[in-house]
Amino acid sequence: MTKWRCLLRPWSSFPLQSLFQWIALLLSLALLDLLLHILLYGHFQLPSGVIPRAGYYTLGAADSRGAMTPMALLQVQMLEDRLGSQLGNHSLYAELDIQLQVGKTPASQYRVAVLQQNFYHHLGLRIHRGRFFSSNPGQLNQELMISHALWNRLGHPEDPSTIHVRLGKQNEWTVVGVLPPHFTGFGVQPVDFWLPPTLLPDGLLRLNTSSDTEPELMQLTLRFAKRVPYYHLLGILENSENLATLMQQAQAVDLALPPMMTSHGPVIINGLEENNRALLSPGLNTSPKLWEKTRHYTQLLAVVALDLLVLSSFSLLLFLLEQLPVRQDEFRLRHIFGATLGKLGWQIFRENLGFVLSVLPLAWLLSRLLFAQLAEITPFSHFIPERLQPPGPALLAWSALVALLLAALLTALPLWALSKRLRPRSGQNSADITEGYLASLFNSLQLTTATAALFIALLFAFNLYRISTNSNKGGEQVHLLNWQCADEDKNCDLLELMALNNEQILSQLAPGAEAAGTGEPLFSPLLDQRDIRLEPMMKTGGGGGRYQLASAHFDRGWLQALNIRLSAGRWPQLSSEILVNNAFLRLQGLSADQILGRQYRQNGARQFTYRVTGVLEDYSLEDPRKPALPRIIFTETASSGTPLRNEIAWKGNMEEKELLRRLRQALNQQGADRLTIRHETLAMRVHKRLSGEQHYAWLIGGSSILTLFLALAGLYASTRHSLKRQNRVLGIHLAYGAHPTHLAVLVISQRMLMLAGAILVAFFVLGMMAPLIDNWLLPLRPWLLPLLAAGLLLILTGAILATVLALRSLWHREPMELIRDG
Amino acid sequence: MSFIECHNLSKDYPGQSALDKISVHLNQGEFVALEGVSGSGKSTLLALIGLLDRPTRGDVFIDGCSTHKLGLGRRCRLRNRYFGFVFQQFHLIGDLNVAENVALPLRYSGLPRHQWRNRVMEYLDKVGLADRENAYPGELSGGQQQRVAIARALVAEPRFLLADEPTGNLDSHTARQIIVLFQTLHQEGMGLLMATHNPDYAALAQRRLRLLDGRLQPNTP
Ligand SMILES: Nc1ncnc2c1ncn2[C@@H]1O[C@H](COP(=O)(O)OP(=O)(O)OP(=O)(O)O)[C@@H](O)[C@H]1O
Ligand SMILES: [Mg+2]
Repeated sequence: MTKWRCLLRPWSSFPLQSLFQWIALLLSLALLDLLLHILLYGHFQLPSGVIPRAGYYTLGAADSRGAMTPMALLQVQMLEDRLGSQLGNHSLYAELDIQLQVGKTPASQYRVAVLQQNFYHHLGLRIHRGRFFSSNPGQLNQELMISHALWNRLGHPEDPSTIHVRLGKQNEWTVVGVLPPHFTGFGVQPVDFWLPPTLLPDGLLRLNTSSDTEPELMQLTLRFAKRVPYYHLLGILENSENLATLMQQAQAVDLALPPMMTSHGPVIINGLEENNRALLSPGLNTSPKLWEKTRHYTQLLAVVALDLLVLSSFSLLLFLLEQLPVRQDEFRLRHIFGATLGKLGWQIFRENLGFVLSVLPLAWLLSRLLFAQLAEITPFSHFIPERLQPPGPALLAWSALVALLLAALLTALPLWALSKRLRPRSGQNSADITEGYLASLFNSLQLTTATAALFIALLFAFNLYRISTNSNKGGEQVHLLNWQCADEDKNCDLLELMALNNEQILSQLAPGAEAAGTGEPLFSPLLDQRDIRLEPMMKTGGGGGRYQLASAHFDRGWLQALNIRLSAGRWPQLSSEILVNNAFLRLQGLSADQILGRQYRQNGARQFTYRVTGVLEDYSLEDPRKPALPRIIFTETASSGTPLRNEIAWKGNMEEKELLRRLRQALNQQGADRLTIRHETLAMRVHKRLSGEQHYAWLIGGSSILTLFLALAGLYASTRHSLKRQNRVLGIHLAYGAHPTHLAVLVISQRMLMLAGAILVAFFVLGMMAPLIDNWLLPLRPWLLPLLAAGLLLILTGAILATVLALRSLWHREPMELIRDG
Repeated sequence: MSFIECHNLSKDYPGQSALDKISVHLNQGEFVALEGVSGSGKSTLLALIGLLDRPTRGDVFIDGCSTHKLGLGRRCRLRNRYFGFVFQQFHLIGDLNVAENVALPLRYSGLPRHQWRNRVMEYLDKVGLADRENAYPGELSGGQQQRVAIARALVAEPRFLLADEPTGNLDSHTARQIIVLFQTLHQEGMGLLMATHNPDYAALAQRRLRLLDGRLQPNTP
């Protein structure tokens, strides 16, 4: 019984402080556990040698206007043959709808993507369940993978191979794996099944000669070749320089197709006659550098978690040290009656172990909850599987080890201090002094970490604010209207659906009213590197000629959401209006005034002239850490390479219901009455896309604020600790007429010296951490100085407040009491 | 009206009473000795009079003003202007040298900083330690430390000196010197209350107060 009572020791003597320390330890261990989870279930689970990358390029064909169009299969093969190793890790990619019979349901249309499995590996995509299909070249594997959504709809069976997929009458395909929940393919429409492309490239050509091919397969192959010639080469984006040379070489490949005959008649490659040049579009339809972001987020989390752990253990150590003078008599008495130092150490260790162990279960639970949240959101969701195994004995062993280590760590120092205190004579005094130094040292470290944490917290808080204001940008007024095949519609063709005349729909919606433009998803700029021949229209001279220029096509909302600002002029409103960036100005040797209103003709094409309406501040779209390239920014509608899409953005004050009614009418007029319409506002979409960052901002911001709080509490504790040792001196000062305020100023000025040192070190640490928080720093650049100033002010106020709080007893105590206590 | 008047001063410590209903008055410029055996409450009484502690019951009047309800600022100022306190254990600050220790009350007296040195040297001279101004307390003998403590008590030129056993730790020769110093101060017009258990020194005072178990002895004049 007494054994257990000793575990409650710190609680019974210092209940409030113990509770504080307990919570601090709980939160820091929870954060550490969260980090461990992310490492264990994410980073460490990746196949060896695989770097998850979500940035990739798409190679497609270019039409005469330079717009990207799908390629024919043979063109893909030509590109592959000619460019060979230049392509790096790449894979053929095609999407099509085919008739499949899944389970017992009648055959219906499904979205199928063809992709080599190695591409998943290169992307670092981890499957949710089962395995990847095997794609041995030349061998026909009837294996496929199913999307998470469809698997869910089919009742998410434990073993996905129990789902029967039939293609035609005999061909039964085996479902070998389920893709992660957030992976829906690279195209516009979510993909239901993924097949290996083994039957395509070689198979197509061999079909002519071989007679033993099953008729269904032959049919299918022909359909692949004829009906949906939508092929891309997906590759991994290595770096932008390679990309430029790749682009040049791709353009040099002649993709003109010879007329092709098979034993089944001519293969019609409809609509592709013009496509004889390759075009490269980097990072289409995905947020580039997602993996970089994941790494950054993980590193930042590691920094904050370790920060918090260090802080809370220091704070705990200070707490333990502070208990020593109070408990000294107890220990001394036990020592006198024969308790060895080892035995006393064992007692302290048991107390500490009890304390740490009492924290662990809740910390684990908390980290689980946080992890469940994080695993769902952007920077982590792409590589953390949804369903996790329950923690094995290994994790329990880990926790036990952590608890033992922490308890031992927390015992060593107090034991050492105690041994000094128990030594006869001068022991106690020198122990006091050493403890004082240690307390100050811990406190300085705490302050350093806290200052760093404070700035991070401020950045994140500000970022959070910015994000939440951005999600209101455009407000409720921008409607995104999206039309898709109804789920049960078997004969719906996505290509047809996207080929609807958007302009016509827009004009139908409200003749004459302003439209925000047809929209690509908001955060997917189409970056491009082009050889553009610019000819100034006015005879003002200068600025003409050929330039290797980057262009970009994106929605203005995207730029605004990133807080990329105009440094001159206005946002474009017409499709013929463009922006340039400051780097472009420097290249042309023009001032902002000179460029505004200037007209350019592109590539000598008579029909395309653009007028510059604004100058954008420099911001590197490829990599925020690199200098910006000279760039022309087309609006979505101005883009000559507008991809097909099934969405329009509508800006205006029209009622949502009325808007939907008119769109329905417009679609019906184009014969697309079976399509379903989805509606959301820009605010909703931005919010959806940013929710991951918001969660994370909350997590990091919250932990940083906690860190700061811990540091201030530590400052308070150590000030009190050091004041206790100074009682006699302060009492003497009071005896000769000092006012407590005088003494407070004296002590605070001593403390401020320490604080100044801590802040200096913190700035150094922050400087080292800058690359980690670069992503957040960039859009916050203009506010950095005010933020730093605010941070300094906050920490100074906090430190002074903590010291004054610790000093407050001076106002209540008489000099004689203080002198006697000292 | 006397300079200091104590009305029914009592001081209780947990489990014991150190002073019990002490009423005493001290006049301006008076030299009073406070006698009593160890533990009789001399130090406690001095601390109460010098406003270094608060009585459990009773009140101290200074210049006719009650100190009971006095604000913190006023109490601090009174300590600085009216009283110089010499502690039984000297209580010099080890981190400060002799001159700095002596200058301590000047920090709170409002005396311009440039006049500090002259003042400090004047009083160090008075206690005969002008040549040790840069020494640290740890380097001084007990008697020297006591004299530094006296210089410190005098440096702000208080109206009343409260000395707790100023000769307790000293040999008779040094003790004698200090008593002579006190007599000189008394002749210069300073009030003195000196706790001591040496009857010889007490006999030099104008008036003798005797404490026993926290009570003032009736034979006190
Ligand atoms: N802080 C304290 N807590 C409890 N009791 C105390 C405290 N200070 C003094 N006392 C008690 O009050 C009584 C008076 O003590 P005081 O120090 O005033 O005696 P003194 O006359 O100065 O003795 P000495 O000649 O030894 O200095 C003593 O019995 C002492 O035990
Ligand atoms: Mg005494």
